Amino acid sequence: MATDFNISSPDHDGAGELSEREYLFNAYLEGNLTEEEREKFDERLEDDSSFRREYEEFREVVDGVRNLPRQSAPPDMSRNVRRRIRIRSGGSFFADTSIQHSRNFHEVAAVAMMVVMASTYLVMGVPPDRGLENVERKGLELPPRSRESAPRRGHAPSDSPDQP
Amino acid sequence: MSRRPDRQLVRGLQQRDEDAFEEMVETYQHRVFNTIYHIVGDREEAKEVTQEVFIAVFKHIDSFRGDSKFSTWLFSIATNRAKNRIKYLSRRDHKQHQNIQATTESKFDDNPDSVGHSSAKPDEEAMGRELEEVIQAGIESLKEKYRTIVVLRDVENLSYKDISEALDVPEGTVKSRLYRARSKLKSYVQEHYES
Repeated sequence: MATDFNISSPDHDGAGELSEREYLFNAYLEGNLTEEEREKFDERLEDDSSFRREYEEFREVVDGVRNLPRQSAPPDMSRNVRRRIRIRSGGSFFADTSIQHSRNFHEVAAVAMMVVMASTYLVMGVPPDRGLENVERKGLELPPRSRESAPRRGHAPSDSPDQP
Repeated sequence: MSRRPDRQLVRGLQQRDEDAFEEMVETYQHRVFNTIYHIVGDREEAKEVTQEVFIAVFKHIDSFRGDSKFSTWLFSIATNRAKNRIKYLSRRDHKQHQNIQATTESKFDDNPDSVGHSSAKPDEEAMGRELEEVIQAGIESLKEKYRTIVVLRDVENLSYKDISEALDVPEGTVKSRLYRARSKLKSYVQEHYES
């Protein structure tokens, strides 16, 4: 008989004995009998009404377990689990993909702008400061006295009331 | 919606990708919930334990080495959590299970197609429901080690190998416990369903 445990010895979990019939019913339902054993079982089912009745009762219970209505998880399961994860982790458990994507976009844009500016600098060089040139040129043309009396940054003009 | 393979899902979970997490929950929530419900025998408790299972998966995903299937690893966590809950409830002398009638009502509400009693005559329907109730009560009357195996095998249709890996017991033990669980269940049903 196709068995890997002794039906007449107590289960090592202390569950007691399993009758030969019960073993056969299980093995038959599980497809654990050899072809020859299966044929003998089928013959016995036909010939032995007591055996057949007992088997039918056994099969009804096993089928009953197999056909128990399946229970569906509540529809808000996923949302509730994620909420609990966020609470437990202080909001840092998940990699926040939306912020991550947004941050990545801005980082890429910033780097691209820097590259463009650097390229422009390398190709065109530093633009001349026209305003400074004009000031210096004008400064050279001013008469010496005017230059001395020209108000300096942070200093009051010469005609201010503070001056004697 | 096409679903990514478990390997990619695991990688996503390890990167703490929320989309991957959601996909994992959507994929497995009903099987996990159904398993836990039939082990624990209470819908509210099953809801709580199922949430804990998915939180544990996300928390410990880095310890999943891929030696077994992801689903087997998931069922391992689910059955452990369910067993712990049974112990916790028994310590608290938690004797009250959810009202069976209410449970049966909710079964029809949640998943009307799966029941398939719509064409049955009312008396057959009532008998079918009564048998279901007795069988569920019989499962709950089993010791935890038998209950877990009969649920994984006969309710979830897992292979001996997967059950063996999920429960970390030899396949021979899975088979012997299953056989004994069914025999005990049959005795229980005979005793309580004769009427």
